[in-house]
Amino acid sequence: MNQENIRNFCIIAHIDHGKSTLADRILEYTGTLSAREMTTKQVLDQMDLEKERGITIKLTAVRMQYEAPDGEIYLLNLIDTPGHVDFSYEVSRSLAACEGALLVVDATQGIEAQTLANVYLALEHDLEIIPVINKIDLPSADPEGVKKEIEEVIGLDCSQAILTSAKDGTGIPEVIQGVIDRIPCPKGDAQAPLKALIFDSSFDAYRGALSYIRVFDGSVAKGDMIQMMSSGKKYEVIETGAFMPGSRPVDCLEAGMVGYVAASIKNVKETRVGDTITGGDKPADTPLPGYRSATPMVYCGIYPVEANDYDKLRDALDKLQLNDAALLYEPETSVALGFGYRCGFLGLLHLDIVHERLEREYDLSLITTAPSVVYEILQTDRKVILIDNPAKIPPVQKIEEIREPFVAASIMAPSDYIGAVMELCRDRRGSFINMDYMTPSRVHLHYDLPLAEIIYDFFDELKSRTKGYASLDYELKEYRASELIKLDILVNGEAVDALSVIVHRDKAQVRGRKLVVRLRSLIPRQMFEVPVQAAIGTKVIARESVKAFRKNVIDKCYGGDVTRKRKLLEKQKEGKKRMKMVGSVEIPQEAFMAVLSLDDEE
Amino acid sequence: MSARKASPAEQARPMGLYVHIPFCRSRCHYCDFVSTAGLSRAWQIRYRDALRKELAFYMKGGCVDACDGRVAAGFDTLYFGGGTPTYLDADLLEEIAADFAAVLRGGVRGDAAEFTVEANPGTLTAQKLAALRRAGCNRLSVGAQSFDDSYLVWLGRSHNAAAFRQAWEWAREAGFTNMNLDLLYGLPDQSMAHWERTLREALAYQPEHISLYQLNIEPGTRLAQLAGAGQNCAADEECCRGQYLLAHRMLTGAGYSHYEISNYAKPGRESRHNTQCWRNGYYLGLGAGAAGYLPEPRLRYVNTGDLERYLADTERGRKPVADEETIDTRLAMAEEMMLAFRLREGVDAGGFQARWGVEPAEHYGAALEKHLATGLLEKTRQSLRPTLEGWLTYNVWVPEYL
Repeated sequence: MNQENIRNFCIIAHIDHGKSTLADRILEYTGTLSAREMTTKQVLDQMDLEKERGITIKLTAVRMQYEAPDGEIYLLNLIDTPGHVDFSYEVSRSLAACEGALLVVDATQGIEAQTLANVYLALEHDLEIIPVINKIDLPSADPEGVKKEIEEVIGLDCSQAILTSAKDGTGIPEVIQGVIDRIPCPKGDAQAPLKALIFDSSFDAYRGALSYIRVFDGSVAKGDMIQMMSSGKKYEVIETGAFMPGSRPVDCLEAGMVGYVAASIKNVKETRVGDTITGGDKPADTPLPGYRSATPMVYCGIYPVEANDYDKLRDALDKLQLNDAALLYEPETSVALGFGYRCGFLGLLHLDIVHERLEREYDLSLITTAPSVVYEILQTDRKVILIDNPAKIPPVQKIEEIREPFVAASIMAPSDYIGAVMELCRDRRGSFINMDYMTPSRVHLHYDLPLAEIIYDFFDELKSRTKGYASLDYELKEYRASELIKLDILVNGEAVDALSVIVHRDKAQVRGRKLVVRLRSLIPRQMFEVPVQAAIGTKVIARESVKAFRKNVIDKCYGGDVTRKRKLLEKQKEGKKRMKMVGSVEIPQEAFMAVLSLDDEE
Repeated sequence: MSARKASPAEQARPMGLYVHIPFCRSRCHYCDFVSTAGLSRAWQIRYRDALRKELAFYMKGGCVDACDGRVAAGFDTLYFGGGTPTYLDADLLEEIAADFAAVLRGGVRGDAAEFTVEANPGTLTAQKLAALRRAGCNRLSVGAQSFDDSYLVWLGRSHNAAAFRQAWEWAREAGFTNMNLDLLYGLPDQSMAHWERTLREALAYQPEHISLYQLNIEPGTRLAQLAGAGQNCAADEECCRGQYLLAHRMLTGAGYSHYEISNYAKPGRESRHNTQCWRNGYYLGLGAGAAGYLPEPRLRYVNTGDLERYLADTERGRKPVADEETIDTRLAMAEEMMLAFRLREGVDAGGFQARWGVEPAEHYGAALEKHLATGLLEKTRQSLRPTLEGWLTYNVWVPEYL
């Protein structure tokens, strides 16, 4: 196919602004899928979890063959993007494979911080952006106001913005025509040596690792030899194909096209996202510009409740990582929890999703320790070490300085909530940078905040203090020295490494107090009294105790009912399965995450 | 179904017979046993006939030709529980008691076999007591529960303290020399001093056996309703523990052995029937809501608790079993541990090995070691037995054997 008839685009939208519904309508209108085939709503969100939570986690790409009213056949490739801040790096991956983007904004909400960040990314990639104002069927829709906001905030001409209602189908033909008319076609050199960007990968039991690619120059077909430019490794292509939306083989992927190649690659790590694929015999001179790879921001320990499940956990992580390159893990040992893995995540949502998938899809019972950011520690010997686990912090006398990651946070909110947002940021040790009014009723605030404060329910708190109207985006800025200390938790007199947290000195007292109170309520009673203490070094700053069982016995047990009594006792045993023995105390899974929900209490 | 033959060792085990009488004068507020209040003589007659038929199923070899030889050899103990067996009219009570006493090994007379009947003081008369004696009953279990009339009213008991005293005296006069007295503790707002008085008074009756039960709020009972409505219906855990320990001190001091979690007896006066159950023995259970445990293949079953259903099934020649479970070796061993830890004698290593071909230490090593180390169990030359602390927290640690 002629490159002039190919369009590669993505959709940038805030969560809930209707991206998935709009994508569905486009698939339906172009005849890629009939309305009947769209049985489950939102075809692009494939994972169960995505459907349940109404979010996109993994990006997907769909090829649509579309006959325009003028009779021309077009190949439209829609590359989906996730909307949550945790997955922003995936956005940059899809942007690199496109020439244009639809910017979808909810006509009742206006532009949000996350969207803004993605639009700037798209502009950096020189993408053509088509503003689409969605949900115009709603009574509270204010398309003119939203247009004005986009113009003022982004400086994007909105005179040709398309008004849609993905729900009832309004404006869908205009969107497709807009894509054809306004998004530039790819301009690769079909005769040049192959140059294709890997923007994602997945693993298939039969075909090995699949590389999702955007071909810039040249072409690739079954039987060709290809090589990875970063490693020089060569492979023979066994299949080329496209997503329609299920994967279907096609003869050849030419310059400008989006699809996948299968080349019996055994390990997904060999198809590194961002790498360039070139011809095995006729390689290109220079690779395509890659892009910022995903850096985990949050780390936590993941341990099997049953020590026997360690191997099963490793296999599960191996498999999950095949489709989630952002997931990092390496073995670690905890005195309290035994053998497990320290895992790195893009953010809390990512962590949550991985944890849930491990338990759900691999039938594991797991303990996740409280998440931590990566600290930089300047030791007295002037060496700088990185610490992603509070338990690994060197003794106080060896520490010269502890530095923590700060992010540049951008928060958008209706101006009524300025006070609430500022108060929250101050509470979380934020420093104010500046504030500007996007419109008379909406503000954009910039703060520098410690990442550690953000991962503790900052987003939930922001939402609740602004009745859900505020949005947040952040990116890592720098490491700064802070007055940080390690808070140890002692259960039954023994420090439990997996419960240690790093906190700011000013907050240690309050955190410690809350933590022991919370743990007291989470740790079930045992055969003996269990003191729970919070300590800094050797100094105990808070103490509670879990009372012992004093009397718990079925008094009456005559021949009558041995079975019933046995079942009663068996039930108690069931409850213990999700407990971890730490020393001689049984601690439930939730306790290790207790530190996260401390602020719900008051 | 193939005929089931018990192995010689299992054949030699004693076997009990339990008969449930699901009638009461009125329902006590804490009770969740199978029973119906105030039923007429006509019902009692139907029930008598049904019990006879049900026994015949087993004697002739229905599903439980299991115990073919076993049942034919007669039972070692007989227990009439309820409900209130003594609610039955005197003549029917005597008839039923005599019927079942006839299948006791060694006959009705003398103390070769143990035949216990549960009695409620409010339903006992000198006439019924004499009838029971004639039928061969040689052990009486009387529910006193409390000697405080205000608690008795609150509990919904149909008698007062004076009626208990009278019933007890009549029973002694009728010739009962082996009697149990039931008490409840952990009553709301019951002080230690009150409990101590209660125990003193119980000792004054010189019972051969004493059972002490903590008042529990069972779902579906009147007390559960009251508790749901916010009434204080139970003592706290600490208080119950104190009362349990006080009773242990007082009763062992008075010459009783604390031979099971809730039971005390003068030497040689332990309940043979119940001890048999706790030693993981077999017993046939008859009557609505009754449970039984039969050998080879081991089977635990429970009858329907619905009286009309029970009658209808039995009358139509069908066993009234509502639920049954085959007990494989693993489960049988676990149950044996669970039950043995209710007994002061605990688990006899040699006996366990003889029955199951494996030592408890081999099979439950980790748990036993842990519980010995934490003082819940103690070791004697031959056995592993629970300590007082082990009993107090029985529910917490025993599941580890299941």
